[in-house]
Amino acid sequence: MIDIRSVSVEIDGKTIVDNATVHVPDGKLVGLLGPNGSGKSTLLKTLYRVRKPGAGRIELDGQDLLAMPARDAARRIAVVAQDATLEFDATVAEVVMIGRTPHKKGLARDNADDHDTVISALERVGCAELADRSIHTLSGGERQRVFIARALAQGCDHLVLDEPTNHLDIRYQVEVLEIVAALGVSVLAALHDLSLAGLFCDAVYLMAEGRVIADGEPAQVITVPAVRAAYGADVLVVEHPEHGTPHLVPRRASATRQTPTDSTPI
Amino acid sequence: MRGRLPLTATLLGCLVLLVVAMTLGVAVGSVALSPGQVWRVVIDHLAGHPHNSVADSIVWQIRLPRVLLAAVVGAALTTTGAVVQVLVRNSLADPYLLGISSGASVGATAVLLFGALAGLGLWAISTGAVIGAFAAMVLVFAVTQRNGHLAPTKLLLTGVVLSAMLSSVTSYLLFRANPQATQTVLFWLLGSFGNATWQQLPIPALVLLVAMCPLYAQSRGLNALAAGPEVAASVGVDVPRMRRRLFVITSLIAGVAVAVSGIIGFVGLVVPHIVRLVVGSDHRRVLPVGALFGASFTVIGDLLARTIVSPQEMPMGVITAFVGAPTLLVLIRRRPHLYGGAE
Repeated sequence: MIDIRSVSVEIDGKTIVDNATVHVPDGKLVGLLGPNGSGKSTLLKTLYRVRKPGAGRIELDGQDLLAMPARDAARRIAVVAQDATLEFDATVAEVVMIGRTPHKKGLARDNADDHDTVISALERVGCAELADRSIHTLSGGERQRVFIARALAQGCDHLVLDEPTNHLDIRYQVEVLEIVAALGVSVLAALHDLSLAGLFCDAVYLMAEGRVIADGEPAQVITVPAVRAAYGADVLVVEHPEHGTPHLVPRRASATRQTPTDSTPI
Repeated sequence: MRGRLPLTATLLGCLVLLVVAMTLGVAVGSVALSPGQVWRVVIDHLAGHPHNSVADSIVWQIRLPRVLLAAVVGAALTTTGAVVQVLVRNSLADPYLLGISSGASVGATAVLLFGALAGLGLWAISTGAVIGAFAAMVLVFAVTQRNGHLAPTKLLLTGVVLSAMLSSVTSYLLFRANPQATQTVLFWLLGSFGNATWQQLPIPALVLLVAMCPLYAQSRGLNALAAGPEVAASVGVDVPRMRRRLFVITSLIAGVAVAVSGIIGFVGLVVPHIVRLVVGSDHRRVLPVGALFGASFTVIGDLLARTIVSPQEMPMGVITAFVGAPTLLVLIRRRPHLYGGAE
């Protein structure tokens, strides 16, 4: 359970997150939606201590996150952040092993337990056979799954994902979210694609200009007026034909429909 | 982990390489000695009853301190190079990037040309270099830091810009000096172990040993930081504090190394790359293997510097750049995905 209560963040005197309250129930996948610059990433950064909230409180299962020593916090909540640039070469197993850091004292060696944890984390994301590959040789989707495995290797019940489907092809977007939804841990994920959020999230929070302007089940939040208010975009929201979840359909400025006919000359 | 040599085997191999390199380094020279002679002198000294022979004075007085100093400096440069690369998250970084070398140059040049700190005798140049290096370090830190945060790109840029500025100071000093003095300074600037003595050894050796401990103890943190600051933060690393520490420790080691050897380029850039290719990016391997391999690299480099144009001596920096640059070029061509050429 993740409880963000009335959190505000200021950066250089500018309010980036304004009195945001977000609740992630045990084992649920909660989506954080909103346009670029709405404060999603900054709010997530307070969960992994890159940003300090100026006001508010964050609790993990009722415990004050901000009062925890960094190592203890890292054993409770794991993150897949956006900065996925790779400056140095490493094998997949080595990347996942980084997740064991908060469990190890300075000079402690990796033991059998650590190796088992790494392998089972890779198995959970379906990447066990990649363990010895160089991280540079993976596809975007595989890489993202490996980063999720690294977070899982931290052995946490709470997971934060900042745009996990960014830069991925549609197949991998769905694949990654299927994996995340099936993990059984409490997940707070910033998501770009509202239709995918509707398809996979148990609940969503919609942010605009630093504030949470709507929250609830996807069908209640992802609506035509809400999308216009948050994104300034004029869209249609239809029901997913198989799942009944809200699905965004973009519109063109001119509303006239061009009907294709069989006789159209090529 | 499969696909990698066991660490103990790798370390043992590097240790053997270092012993062979050092033995050669002591044995080869204008008076050639056999490895047996070399070791006999060393064992005699360690056992406490040295013999008064020509071999003894060549080995013990001249070549051994030089080879040991080369080893210490090689280990120091490789260690700091590997760590600075993580600190600024740029594989092109080397220990001199943060202004250390150019600061040291100004200090040493002032000593060599104007006889500043003359009261310190033998130590004058080293002291001048250390003062210059640390002044540069403080300056880079002061300009870069904001609320105790050192942003990598800013750090890199400040280091480069400050280096350029300090180099111009060195050039100005050289321009004003007489030609003989200029020759001495240029030789120092390109690095050399020609003036190595036993007295020079303890300080860099001690600094290296003491500084290696906290670096090695933070290898896991280094791995996380290499993966990205947000990754490091998410696994419980206090990133701003770690960056400050790494900056101070690497500056200390590099400053002391520069003070005893001048500016030996490329070791701190190339050797970490070679080591990473062989043992991967885990700093629990990179640091110890790098220290041993870097030591061997510099010992062999110094051997070449003494022998190639014997009886004259080449500056170390000429050798290391001449060997190091093509090595790096080959690596870049063979592993394009590591150097931004995959797309």
